[in-house]
Amino acid sequence: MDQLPTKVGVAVEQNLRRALEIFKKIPGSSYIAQYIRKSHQNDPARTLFEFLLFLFALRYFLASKQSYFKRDYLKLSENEVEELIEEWEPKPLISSLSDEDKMLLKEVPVVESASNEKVVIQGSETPELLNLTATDFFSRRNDKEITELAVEKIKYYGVGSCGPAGFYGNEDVHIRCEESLANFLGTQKCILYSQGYSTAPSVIPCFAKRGDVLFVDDAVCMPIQRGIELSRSKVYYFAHNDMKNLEDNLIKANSLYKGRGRIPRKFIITEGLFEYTGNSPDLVKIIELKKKYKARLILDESWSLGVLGRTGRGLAEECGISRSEIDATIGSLATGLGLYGGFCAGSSALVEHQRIISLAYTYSATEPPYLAGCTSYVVDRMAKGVYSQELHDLREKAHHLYTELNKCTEIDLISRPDSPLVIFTLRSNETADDSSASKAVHNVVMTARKNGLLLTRLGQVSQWENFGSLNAVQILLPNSLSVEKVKETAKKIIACVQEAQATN
Amino acid sequence: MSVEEKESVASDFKENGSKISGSIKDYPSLAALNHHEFAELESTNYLYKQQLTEPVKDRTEELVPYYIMLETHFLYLVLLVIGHIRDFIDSIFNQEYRANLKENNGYAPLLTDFDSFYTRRFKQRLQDLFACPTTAVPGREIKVYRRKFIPNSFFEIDEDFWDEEPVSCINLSSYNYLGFAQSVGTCADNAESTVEKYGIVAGGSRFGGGCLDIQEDTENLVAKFVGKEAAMIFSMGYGTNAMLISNLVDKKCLVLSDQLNHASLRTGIRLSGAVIKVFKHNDMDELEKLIREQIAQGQPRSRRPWDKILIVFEGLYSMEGTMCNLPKLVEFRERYGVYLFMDEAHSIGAMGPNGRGICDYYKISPSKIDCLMGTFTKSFGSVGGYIAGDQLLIDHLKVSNLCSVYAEAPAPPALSQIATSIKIISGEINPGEGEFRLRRLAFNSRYLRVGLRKMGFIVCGHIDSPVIPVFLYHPTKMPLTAHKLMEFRIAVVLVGYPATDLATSRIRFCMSAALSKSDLDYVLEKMEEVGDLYRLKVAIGLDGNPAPRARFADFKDTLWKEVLNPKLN
Repeated sequence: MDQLPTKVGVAVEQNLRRALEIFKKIPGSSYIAQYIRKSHQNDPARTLFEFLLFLFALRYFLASKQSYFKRDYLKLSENEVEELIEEWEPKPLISSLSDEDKMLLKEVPVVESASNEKVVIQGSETPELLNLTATDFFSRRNDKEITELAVEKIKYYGVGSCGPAGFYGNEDVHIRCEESLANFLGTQKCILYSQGYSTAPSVIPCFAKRGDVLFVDDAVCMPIQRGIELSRSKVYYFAHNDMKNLEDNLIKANSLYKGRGRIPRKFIITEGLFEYTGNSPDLVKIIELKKKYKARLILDESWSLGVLGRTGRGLAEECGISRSEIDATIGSLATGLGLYGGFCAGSSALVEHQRIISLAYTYSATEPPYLAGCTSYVVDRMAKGVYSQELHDLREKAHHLYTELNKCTEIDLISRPDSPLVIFTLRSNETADDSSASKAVHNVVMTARKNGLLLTRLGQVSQWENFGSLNAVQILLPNSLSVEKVKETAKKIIACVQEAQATN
Repeated sequence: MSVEEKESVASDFKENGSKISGSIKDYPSLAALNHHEFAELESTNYLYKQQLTEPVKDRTEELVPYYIMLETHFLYLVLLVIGHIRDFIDSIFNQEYRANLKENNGYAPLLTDFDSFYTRRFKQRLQDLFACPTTAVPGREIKVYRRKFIPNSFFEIDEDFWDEEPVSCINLSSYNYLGFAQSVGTCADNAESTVEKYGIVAGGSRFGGGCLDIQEDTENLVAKFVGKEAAMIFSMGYGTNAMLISNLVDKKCLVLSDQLNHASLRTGIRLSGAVIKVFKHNDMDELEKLIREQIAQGQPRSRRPWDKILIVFEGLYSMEGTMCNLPKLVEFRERYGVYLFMDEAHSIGAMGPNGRGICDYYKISPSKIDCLMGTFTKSFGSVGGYIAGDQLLIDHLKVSNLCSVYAEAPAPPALSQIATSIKIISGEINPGEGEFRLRRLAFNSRYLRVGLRKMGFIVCGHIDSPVIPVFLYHPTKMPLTAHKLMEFRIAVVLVGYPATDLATSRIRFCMSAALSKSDLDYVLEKMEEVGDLYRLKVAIGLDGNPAPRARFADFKDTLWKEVLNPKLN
């Protein structure tokens, strides 16, 4: 027993020696040994310090990532955990529908048959209603030439494309359609998305990242709002179409980032024809501001493409601005154009970057080939100016509708006079709270249906809207109505509003 | 295989084969097809009815030798260094290349060096392989236009591919599991008559006038098919997931998400604002630990209990071919009160003896899963996604789901394609045809997978899965393999980052009922050649030694019998 210290000493000595021998066998070990010896000679404290540093590094690398997050976890015994699990009462996945939801549910029309202007909806007392809900202003979906083309394409391509663009889902029609759109808009390239709604939430985060700055109109539609959220950028909201406010924001932001190294990317995001207000911004002024304050412009032309401008090239054409001034044009083809899918047009680098980075493009199947075929057909004809007269007529009719509706004192028309997307709110709602305002809109919509007009409220989900919902009525004016019919319809709408308010 | 087993397989098979006819000529919607879209069945032996086997553990990690991983990382290091050297040289000599990467006249660069590095320096080397344009029906064959490689370009791709005729390849790239991508037959006829009746699009959002009666009818059909009270159809599968999770959970809830969940689910979870915890792919032990820990710990900081805990997972993982462990997840639901969300994008239609997805496969009642999601792009040859659940959930979605209120409603011809294909699968129209397609897909999937495995490829996933990934690992093998297979007229999908991890690049075979056994024999034969040429057959067995590398010629004649054995795992 008394020999133990000696034995231990010998064992330590032997093991150390063996370790040193092994250490010497490692190539380059002599240099390390030399380094340690020298530094110890010069500064013994440094050896200790470096040894501690080494230990710390070792601990840092060996420490699991988990324990860092679990630092502020409560320490519970197994019994306590069991008890807590026993006690835990999860809330139901979906609690019951609110009264508001039930009311909205009644409002959703189920269309039984639709022709150019007449529709039959399920559960309605009126047999045929005038359809004021079709985003397809020119009834292209039932146009004989287009449906024939669609059938022809289905006979060649089938219905679905069965794959994402990167995995053999990009058929020649999709590429032709992208070319048609780029050609029509006058941009280098264009990329096609398979759903209009998913375009903006996917495009915006491709370019705007954390640390970048966005200047956004406060009436932008839901897809842009979601895109902004996903981008994690710093957002400055400016008052709807208020150029002065935009400029103030630009100045403020520029002063914040001045002289602080890397300049952030700055984007102004606005819409050509606002989904929520039916208005257009002063694009000339925006271009001027964007150049002055070195920001880029993302313009959502969902509703303006195929509606505004002589040939339907959107707000840029109407304002006489070259498309090259607008860095990115995004939009849905399902709204103003009345087709399907979404697009983003711009410079080659801007578009090609999206082909692998943009989530909704990379991870989603392409749109049905027959729809891409129909889209390029419509767009090509539009580029040739075939639809110019139709567009002109539609805006004129919209103007008539506006003039007639404007005579009504119970409503506030907020859309621009020549917009076929007409939005109005009820004057009586100005002071009302959200639920009674929603109820009033509901009454107008249901009264109109009783009187043979199918219109809807402006579709919004208030809990997701950044600035609350607007509680407005939306009218989409089909081009197939004659001017007289438009005037008559306007009178009918006014009568419905009055009737709804009287019964309220 | 013992004699007894052989007999039992044979009798099984007789029972299987008795109900359905072997020739596609007996099915009205297949009879009209030409062999470019759907191949004739060579023998009734080549059909298999899916049966429950034990869920297999994902063994990829165990199958890869260490040196392969080392080499792969080294090669990426080389690519990285070369990329940076080229960036440095370009920053001095090639201002044109840098145009979008540098500050210009006070504008920040549109793309940063770092963000676009992968695209510019890695993916650009493969640009001629991705996004090859195709034409015509992606059925048994697919017509592919070849792009040319443009060296030293910044996002440039070959635009002059139109000049050359497209090449016709055996299609193992499209998600055409049941072969419903067809330009003639019942599906196409119905789609055409729908165009005439309803037009080419619905003309509005579901909330605002775009909900046609054909949509409601199809929704009811889908609900019945997946075994839920109600269902809802959206115009895009990605959008369905991306916008749905917000309706189920909020910031007081916890989402437990599988590591390999699809990007759409991850986007959806992020938008919902819920707290996210990720668990290792299919690791049920870790998941259970996590559930217990989280219920006990509650919300961080506020320490209140979670409002809800939602487990988000996929039925069949599209890049791995692995299947979720549904029985275990259902057990957790019952024991802990967590909610289950299953994404059946790839499994619906393709899995289960009746094609009704993972629940059908495991024989678990769909009522045990709170929310079922799936897409129609895959097995049904259409487009869009669905959510199936209780009536209450669907009613809630009708008025407060973002896609339903803001996005365009699905196009009527797509709806008609969905309705027709579902009716065929469930035997409502053209009885026998749906079963024929399902059994053929099941056989084909097993056949190719087992064949590749026997040759020593690293194949991952469940035996019955129609997604068959073969791992390449080395970045250099990606263009080599893809080019060689294209030379052999085999179209497969090349998968790399960002769809998978950087280091686990792979090629993926998507099986289809439209392919015949001789097509698969051809594929196996050529894969053997490619595997020999580029050293792809490197799998090691579970004992750590190299797995047996059988020659295809040796087992070609017996393989079909082997895969009919339901016990094969």
